[in-house]
Amino acid sequence: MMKARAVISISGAKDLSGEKETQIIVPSSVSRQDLLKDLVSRFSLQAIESIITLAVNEEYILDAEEINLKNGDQLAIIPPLSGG
Amino acid sequence: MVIEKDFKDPRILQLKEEIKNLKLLLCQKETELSELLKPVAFSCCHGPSMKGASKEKLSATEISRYSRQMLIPKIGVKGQLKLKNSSVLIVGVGGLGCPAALYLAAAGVGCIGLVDHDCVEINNLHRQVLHSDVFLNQPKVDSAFAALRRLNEEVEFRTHKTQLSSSNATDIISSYDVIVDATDNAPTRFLLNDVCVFTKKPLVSGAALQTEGQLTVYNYENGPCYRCLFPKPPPPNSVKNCGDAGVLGTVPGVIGTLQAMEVIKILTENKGVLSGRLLTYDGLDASFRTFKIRDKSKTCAVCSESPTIKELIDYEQFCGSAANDKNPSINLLNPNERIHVERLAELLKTESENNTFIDVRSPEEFEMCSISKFVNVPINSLFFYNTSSEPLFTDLKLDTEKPVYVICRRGNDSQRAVQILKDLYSHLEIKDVIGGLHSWAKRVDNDFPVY
Repeated sequence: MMKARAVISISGAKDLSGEKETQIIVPSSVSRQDLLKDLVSRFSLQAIESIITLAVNEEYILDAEEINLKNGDQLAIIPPLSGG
Repeated sequence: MVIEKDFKDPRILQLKEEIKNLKLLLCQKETELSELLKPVAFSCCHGPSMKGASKEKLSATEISRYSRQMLIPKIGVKGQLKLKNSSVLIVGVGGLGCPAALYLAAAGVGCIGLVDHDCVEINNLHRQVLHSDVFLNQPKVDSAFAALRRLNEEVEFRTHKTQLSSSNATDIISSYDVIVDATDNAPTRFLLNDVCVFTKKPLVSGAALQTEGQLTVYNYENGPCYRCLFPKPPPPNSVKNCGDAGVLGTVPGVIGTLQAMEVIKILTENKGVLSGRLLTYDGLDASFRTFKIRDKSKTCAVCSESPTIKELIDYEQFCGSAANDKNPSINLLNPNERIHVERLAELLKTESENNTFIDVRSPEEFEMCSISKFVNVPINSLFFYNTSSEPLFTDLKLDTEKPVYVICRRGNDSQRAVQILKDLYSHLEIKDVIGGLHSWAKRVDNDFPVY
């Protein structure tokens, strides 16, 4: 399987994952569901799995899409914040 | 040598009390005056603004007052008149609502409504910049009203000292042009979204936690609504609140100010409104990012062409959590596994050497305040030990024979910790302290900090 080296940032979830931005190796072609599953287990985001949103290169990825990734792509995990 | 001032000096205390009373008296008189100045009859915010000022024209004072923003071609007289004849509802007069209200009042929005049922607490003051010491324990809407009126008497302020709910939300919201979501909990966010979809109002939504913030505009010119993005409510306790995770005051300051900016753009019919995009702010990185979020969802439960939700529902039930940012008490242990703070005081006094005392709060909290003889074992580290075979007490150089007493901030985490510890050390007597440090401060040591 082809792989890509992407940069992932996790906003609003630093406490959960302990990380803010890091490089990860991901499959270069993957479904949103599988990528999300991978990221959730990699960064221990189980508690918020059902509500996190995933963006690639600053664009949200919707449910059914197949995602093509290349080196240097920016992944972002954005859980909703509620505080005010 | 520094000579310390004696702050118990009776004259100092007397002056402080007198000044506080004078400030309150001043507020009362200002309220009385503004009542007298109110036009005799107005039915809603779209009526004539305060003192019957003209809707079509700006007065000389108004031109002077707002000249610096009217000089901007995208605002001008036209934009200023639009602001003057508009109304904005700010839901939540806290960390986000205070700066948003401040800038909207300063900018000359004709009518500003404020909704909040809370009173001012001392732990609000580092970020909720309209409130001050004088208004501690007073309703936030009254405190904000006093501060805003001092800033701009031309604005008509409406205060709604109530918790927004399915039964009152439509009535309150329908008389305003734009709604600002400056709330602190998921049920109210869903409620606001649905009302705004049903009443066709743009919703300027902000959120802030720790050092990060988010901003977007929902339900604007056929853009997505909150449910298009988040069809499901967050699992209870999965989204942290400011009371637990903390928040740096400048972060809601930034986001609340940006909310005011979006409101001004909407009201003055400028382009570039943050609809279909989400802005994130990270204060520590000093970084702003804008994400393209999504178009309106064709399957959205409220805003699609075939909605499944056509009227307001019970949002606390829907989210499985209360419409506030307070934590409910839990009850996991039997009464014989728990002690009261008075018993803890006795133990610490007479038998402290024969027992182990554990405080399971975070290191940051432990550093702020703790009871002597307690060792800090954050509950998160217990979760780690729970799933590994490493001997916790050996690591911590704790006795594995003595009874253990566990405390936390409010008496919830201490119960969870007792359950974990019992799995690890089933032979030990392990108990928690009911009500935690809040009870300790209330019933044993009144000088102990409460946060």
